[in-house]
Amino acid sequence: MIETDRLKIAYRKHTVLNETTLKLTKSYTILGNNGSGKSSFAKAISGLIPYSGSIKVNKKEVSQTDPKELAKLITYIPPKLESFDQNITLFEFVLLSRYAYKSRFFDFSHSDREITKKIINSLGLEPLASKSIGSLSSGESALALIATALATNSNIMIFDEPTANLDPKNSKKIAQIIKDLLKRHQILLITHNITFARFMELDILFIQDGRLSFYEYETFFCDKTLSNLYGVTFKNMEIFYEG
Amino acid sequence: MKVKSIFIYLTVLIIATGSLFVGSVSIDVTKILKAETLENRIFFELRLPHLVFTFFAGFILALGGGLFQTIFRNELTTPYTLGISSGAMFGAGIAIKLGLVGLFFGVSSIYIFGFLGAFSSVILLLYLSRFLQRDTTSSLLLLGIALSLFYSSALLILFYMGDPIQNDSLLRYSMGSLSVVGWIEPTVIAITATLFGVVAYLYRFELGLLALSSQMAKQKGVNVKRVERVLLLTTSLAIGVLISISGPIGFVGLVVPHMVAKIYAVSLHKRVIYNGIFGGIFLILCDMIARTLQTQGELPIGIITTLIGVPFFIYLILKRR
Repeated sequence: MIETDRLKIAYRKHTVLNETTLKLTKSYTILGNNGSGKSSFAKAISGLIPYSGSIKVNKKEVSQTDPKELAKLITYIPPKLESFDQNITLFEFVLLSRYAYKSRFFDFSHSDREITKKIINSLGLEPLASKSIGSLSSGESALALIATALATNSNIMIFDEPTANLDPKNSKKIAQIIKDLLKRHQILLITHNITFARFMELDILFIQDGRLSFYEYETFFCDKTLSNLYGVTFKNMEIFYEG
Repeated sequence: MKVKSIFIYLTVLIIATGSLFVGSVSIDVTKILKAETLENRIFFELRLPHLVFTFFAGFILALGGGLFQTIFRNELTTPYTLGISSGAMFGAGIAIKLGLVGLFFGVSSIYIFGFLGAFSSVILLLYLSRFLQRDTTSSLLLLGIALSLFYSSALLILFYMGDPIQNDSLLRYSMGSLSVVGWIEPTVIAITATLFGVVAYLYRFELGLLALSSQMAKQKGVNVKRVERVLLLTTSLAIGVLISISGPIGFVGLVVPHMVAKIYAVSLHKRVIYNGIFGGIFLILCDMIARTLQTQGELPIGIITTLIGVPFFIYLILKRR
């Protein structure tokens, strides 16, 4: 559960979100135009950027919570796998995501390694486990990022455009995995992909000019609402390019 | 992996042993263990302490370089390129100039000034970096260059004001040297390096996560600010103590972690200590070059490492994406 109270997020002296008070008790798809503040909102509630006002995740103020505890509560999954260390193997990359469960100064436990192995196998990444992350394709990197989220196993997972650089086949694969996660986790999914958003069957949180509004799944996905909100014509819920 | 390690450690042993017999005086092996011989004294009071000092000096430089590269996620950021070493040198220079050679709570005041110089540079750098508008790492490097230039000029002022004797020791000091007599300095540096290695090892997984990205480390539960502070402080302490004794020895921290990454293509948390060990070997090799090129005395080590390091530095800049 995420509660914000008069939440304000500023980025480079530019206010992204102003005086937002809300309560998110279930999963949502977050939509909105570029630069509307979706990512900033996501990063603030997962403790990655500073904010003023209050954000509580499971009753705990984000900025006051111990980082390890926070990692178990909420995790943000970036759109792209970016790393300075290109030599790290996929297995080690996923294993490091068990950091929150590790005792201080000690090595990862046997069970951490077993869990990591299981996650890698469940995503079909077995053959890549000892490959360096620098050598992965876009589709494989997207799966690797999901593997890290599964390893951290937070109550709440925020996916920021997980299919942004993927071909249709990989997009479908990722979408199905995220949909399956809904059974056990509260998911916030940021995307620009209308088809993906429809597939998820979640209610919509729409962000526009620093304001948030809620829509029910059925009322949001009709040509009229979409055309109004995005300012382009939609036909059969597809962008109408000829118009 | 195992075979490679054994091969590498054997090489280390051979290089280290070999370096004991390189120098202006050739040593007759049979006389070393006989007490009261010249060979015995050269071996146990000059060559052996020198070897120990050189290894641990290289250890500190390369480990520190690796830590800075990880924390700032940039191959070019090391204590040397960020001006931390110049700060230490300036601090130690002030101590020499003021004639502060006495002990302070049992620690030489030159070490304390060296550390203060390094430490204040880190603080200044971190303070200034808060005002950076964009592209943090490149700007940080530029700040480092600005700091280095500033400290170099400040050191020149010390020269200008100094008397010839002080200037001579300042000049020799600013070239970087590994000559030690007796066991005091090697012991100080060995202890410093060991403590530094232990801290780095304890934080290896945090370093592994920081090497991915700051955001990744944060969201996986690392207290990024605290870990960075601990590691920057420890590094500047170790580097400060070393430089107050040896003077600046450039580019070891830049070259070695890169070589280690090429030899061991494994995650950073597994490489942390290798950086130190290979740094030690690298400096022993450079030192052998310095001692064999000139039989009358030896070339200052800082000149050798810089001659090797600068072309490498340029190569790294050119291949940057």
